[in-house]
Amino acid sequence: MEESNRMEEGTSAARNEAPLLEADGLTKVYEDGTLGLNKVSFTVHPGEIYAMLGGNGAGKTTTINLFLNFIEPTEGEARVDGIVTHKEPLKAKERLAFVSENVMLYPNFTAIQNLDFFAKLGGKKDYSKDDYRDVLMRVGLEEVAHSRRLKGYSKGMRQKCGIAIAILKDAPAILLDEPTAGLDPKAGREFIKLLEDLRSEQKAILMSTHDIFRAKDVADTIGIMNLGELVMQRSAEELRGEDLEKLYVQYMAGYMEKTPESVPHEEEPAIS
Amino acid sequence: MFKLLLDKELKEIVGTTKFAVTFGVCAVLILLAFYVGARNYDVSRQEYEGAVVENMRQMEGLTDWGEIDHRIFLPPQPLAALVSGISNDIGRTIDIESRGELRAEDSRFNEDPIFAVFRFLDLEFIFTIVLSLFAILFGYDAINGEKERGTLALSFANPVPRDQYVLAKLVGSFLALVVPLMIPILIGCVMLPLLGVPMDGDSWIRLAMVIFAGVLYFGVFLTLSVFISAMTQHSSSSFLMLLVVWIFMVLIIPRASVLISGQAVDVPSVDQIDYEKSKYSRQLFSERMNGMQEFIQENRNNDDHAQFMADMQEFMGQQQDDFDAKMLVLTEQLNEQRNNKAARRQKFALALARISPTASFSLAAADLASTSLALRSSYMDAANSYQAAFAQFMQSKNADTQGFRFMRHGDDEVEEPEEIDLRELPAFTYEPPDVSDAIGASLPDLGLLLLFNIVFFAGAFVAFLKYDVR
Amino acid sequence: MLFHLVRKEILDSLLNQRFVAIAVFSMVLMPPSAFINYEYYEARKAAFDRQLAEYQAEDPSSSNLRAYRAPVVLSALARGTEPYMPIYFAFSRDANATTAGNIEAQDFSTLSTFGSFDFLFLVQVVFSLLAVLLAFDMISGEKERGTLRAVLANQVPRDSILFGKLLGGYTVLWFTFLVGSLLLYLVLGAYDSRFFEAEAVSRIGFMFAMSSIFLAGFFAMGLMVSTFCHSSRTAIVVLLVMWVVLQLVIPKAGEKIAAIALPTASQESIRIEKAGIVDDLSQEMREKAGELYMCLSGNDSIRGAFEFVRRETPESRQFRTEYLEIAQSYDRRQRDRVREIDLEFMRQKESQRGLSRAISLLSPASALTFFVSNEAGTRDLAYEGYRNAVHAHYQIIDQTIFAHQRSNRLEVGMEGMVMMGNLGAEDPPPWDAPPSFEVREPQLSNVLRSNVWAMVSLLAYLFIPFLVSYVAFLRYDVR
Repeated sequence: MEESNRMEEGTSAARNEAPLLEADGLTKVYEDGTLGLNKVSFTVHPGEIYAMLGGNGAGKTTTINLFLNFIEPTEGEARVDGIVTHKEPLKAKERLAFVSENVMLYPNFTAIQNLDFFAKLGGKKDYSKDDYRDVLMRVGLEEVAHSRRLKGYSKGMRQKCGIAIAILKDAPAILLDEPTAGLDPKAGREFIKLLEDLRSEQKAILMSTHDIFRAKDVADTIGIMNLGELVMQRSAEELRGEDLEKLYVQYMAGYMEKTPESVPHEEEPAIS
Repeated sequence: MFKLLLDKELKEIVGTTKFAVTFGVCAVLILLAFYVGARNYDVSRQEYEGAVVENMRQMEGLTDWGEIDHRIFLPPQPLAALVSGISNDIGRTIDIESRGELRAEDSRFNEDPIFAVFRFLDLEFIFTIVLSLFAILFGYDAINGEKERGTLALSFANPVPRDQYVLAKLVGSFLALVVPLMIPILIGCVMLPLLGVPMDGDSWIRLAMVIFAGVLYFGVFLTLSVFISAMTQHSSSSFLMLLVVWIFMVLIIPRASVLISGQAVDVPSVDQIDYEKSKYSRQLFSERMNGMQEFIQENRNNDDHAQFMADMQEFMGQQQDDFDAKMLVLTEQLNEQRNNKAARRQKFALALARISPTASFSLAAADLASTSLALRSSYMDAANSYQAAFAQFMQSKNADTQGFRFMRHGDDEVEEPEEIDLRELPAFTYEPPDVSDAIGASLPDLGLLLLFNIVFFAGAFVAFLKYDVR
Repeated sequence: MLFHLVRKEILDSLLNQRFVAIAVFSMVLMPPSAFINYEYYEARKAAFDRQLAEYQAEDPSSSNLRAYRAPVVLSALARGTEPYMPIYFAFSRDANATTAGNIEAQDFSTLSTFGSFDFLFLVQVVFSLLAVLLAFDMISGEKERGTLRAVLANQVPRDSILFGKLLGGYTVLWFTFLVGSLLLYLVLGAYDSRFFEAEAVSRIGFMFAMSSIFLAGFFAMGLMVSTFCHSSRTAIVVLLVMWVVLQLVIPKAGEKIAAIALPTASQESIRIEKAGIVDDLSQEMREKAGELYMCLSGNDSIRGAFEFVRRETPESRQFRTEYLEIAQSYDRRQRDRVREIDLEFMRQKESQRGLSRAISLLSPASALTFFVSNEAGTRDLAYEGYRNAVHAHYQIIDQTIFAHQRSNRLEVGMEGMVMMGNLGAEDPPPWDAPPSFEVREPQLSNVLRSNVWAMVSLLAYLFIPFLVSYVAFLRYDVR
């Protein structure tokens, strides 16, 4: 009861605020002609976790790359806090944190050294060593590991470092590319818990994933992408009773066409 | 199974852009070396012929055999254009006198010292640098690259015998790289006679052996690369290791060995020896002067002028013989001492240098092309025997008054009106050392290269048998 | 921002074990090379001193005129052409030839074909490889590892990243080089205090500066290739090929191409040509003299010519006067013709050398070799300076000593018979000692001026790769 209330509150409160992440008719055609994204539009509000589901090559990573200005859109815009990323990339990146699928940091540096470097890159120069230690503890890395070089870290440990970096940046929006891929269930669960904490700090979180179950567990909004198009977007409420897995497969296999109800409608941005 | 693996190796190597590019560069360099070598030979040939002609010309019109100023020249060797060795460092011209020590002067580098710094771009040089790098570039990730890509584990999920796998790797990469290289080499070989380089049967044999040595040299680096690849888990490690090894082998050890041996064994320099000789010679000369004074004193009352002249001539002849004999003794002594020391130093340097297959290859190549020290010694030997023939000839012409032309002041001094016929002069022909000798001299180094190949091959084999394929 | 990037680069390089090992190894090679090359210089100097002393101890005679040049102490840093540089040139009246005398000529073995192991070699070969090793995966490596994306997800401008890499990476390399060079310098200074003199210090300073630029150039090239290749593996292959071509092929090719494009006659054939001219003109002169003799003496045989010449009759005196005129005019003609040939030959050689140099300068390695060797006084400049000084000195000697000798000599020819001898007892020479020969090593300002193109080449190889990297990296696909 409580949970659902919280979610409801969360989402309704979010809807009244301006979205932090906006994809507006995002289209990407690559040089060789392949269509990466086709007029994708969605929003992510503060305090919301948006999960992008989809197969390989569906366009999830392309979307994230567009937000990070690693590529430029052919049409449409990706906006972070109102800033168009391909027009003002540096400004946009100030408001973004990114955790990649396979977090690889500098192998010769320790966790603390890596954190320090990336924190400073992110504009946060005043952290102390203790701050770094605290964050590492918070993400679940034991003390002995803090001063060990990243060369010896397992995947789970590296992912935790990745999220520690995102936490330290304290940016309003967080992008995650398949964050739980390759993690064992326990590590995955811990990771998701961290995301929930971040949500309660009113961060806008966009996460691409294959993991349907986790998505259903934690996401406020779920979007399914297929062949570069956003074929379905539902809130967690709407999906509560449904078998997400079955839906997913059906969309993937193309049994279900993009139906008007399944596609997000344009929302008027709140005037603040 | 083996054939299947071998096939895959060949295709994997030859099909890549990397191969096309590096092979292209190698081919261009090899052809360039052949072309440059042929042109070099041309230039040397012209210089040689010009010098011979001029030598004859400047003696024309002389009427006294005693006046001639004869020189002999070292003809250019065809293979020296490809493996220059020391052919550009040694003197080519020797002034011939009936007696006395012969000195070779006017080396190529003497003429233009600037050339000496970068030295010549010959085939041997291309081989040492290019072949070794080529081998490393394709061998460094032979084993660990497959592991990194995951294909090693995949292959061994099948019943593949390990020995066949590594054998296929070694043989495959060797064939895939050596066979294409033969193309520019053969083209180059064909170019040589077309560009006017006279190659006889012996020369072809030598060239073939040099190419064979090159193939062995290539093999050393290839087997080494595969070996190190099978000893490391990451291709970046093996690559860096091989690069360091390469720097050592190709660039550092050969130079360092010369320097270290120079420190270890002290050899009196040519200058020091000259100094000793000139000191002694001056001493003898003053003795001779005294002897002459005495003679003049004793015989001054001899009225028969002609007799006096004849006696004087004889006496001075004797003195000259005496002088020559004494100088010869000293020279031989000094030279022997020096040569012993030099030989020791040389031995030491070579022993050190042979740690590097590059040095072995260079030495073998120079031996095969006869542009090693054998060139100098055979030239000097030929010159010395020519000197004997020349001295005999001069004696027969009663012109053996070397070193002491008696000038009579104030008297009529008229030369024989008859011009000498220069065709009577014995001709100098230089025969390079025998092919079988050349091959014999190169055998230790060829053997060493073969040994390197075997050792690294075995190493690669054994290392792979225990390699972790996961 | 830039500061943090640079700091991270420096730390990363220092923590890279392989790099550290190779860097230390390179440093360690430097002092021994200094020591060994200095000993080499000392041996050469000792031989020179001994020969010079011997020469000066002899009575000055016109038959043994030599121009000596001392070996230069800075050859300890760059041996260059020292082993092949003549230690003296001997002047001779006949054939107008100057022959070069050498010390080292016979002292070698097959192994000496490998080249020298001096400071120049270490910079040019070892340190440049180190630069390449450090730079080749600066961009492509980070991309492969994924850290490039992590960095670019932040508000870091791309050019800052590139600058950070260049500055950070090169700083580490440069410090290694600096320490090695200092060690080398101190070793040399310990042996010979001349290395601490102002002249030597400024020259060595320039050598170090140019070497630093050279290394920066290779570093920039490594960075450039890394920016173009998306795989480190490809990058290192490309770089190695480039390194081989720049270091080993172009320098040598320059000379070869120039020799083929602008061939010159060989030294030997020039000597031959000059000898021929001299002979022919001498022959002509003798014939003329013979005619004159016949005319004035009435004799038809050459015997008695000497006797005739020494008489005090008016005919004899007239003969002597006119003969002198003839002899001197032929002398002048000989000299002029010979000089013509020499100048033409030098001109040809100059243009060939110019072309060879121009081609070689396409490679930063040759540019560095030229610059450093010239600074050390062991290359073209010194050699040419020496040759030019010798040539000029020859003119002086020719006009004073040799002319004097010739004026005392009688050469008469008639019907194929030749008679020659001295006119009388040789007059005492009009000089106390032969004009002394001094060759000054090229000044520092001269060296700099004539090596402008070398410096340009080195700078070009730094700026162009960096600019290209800059442009390429701005569009680099980081995914």
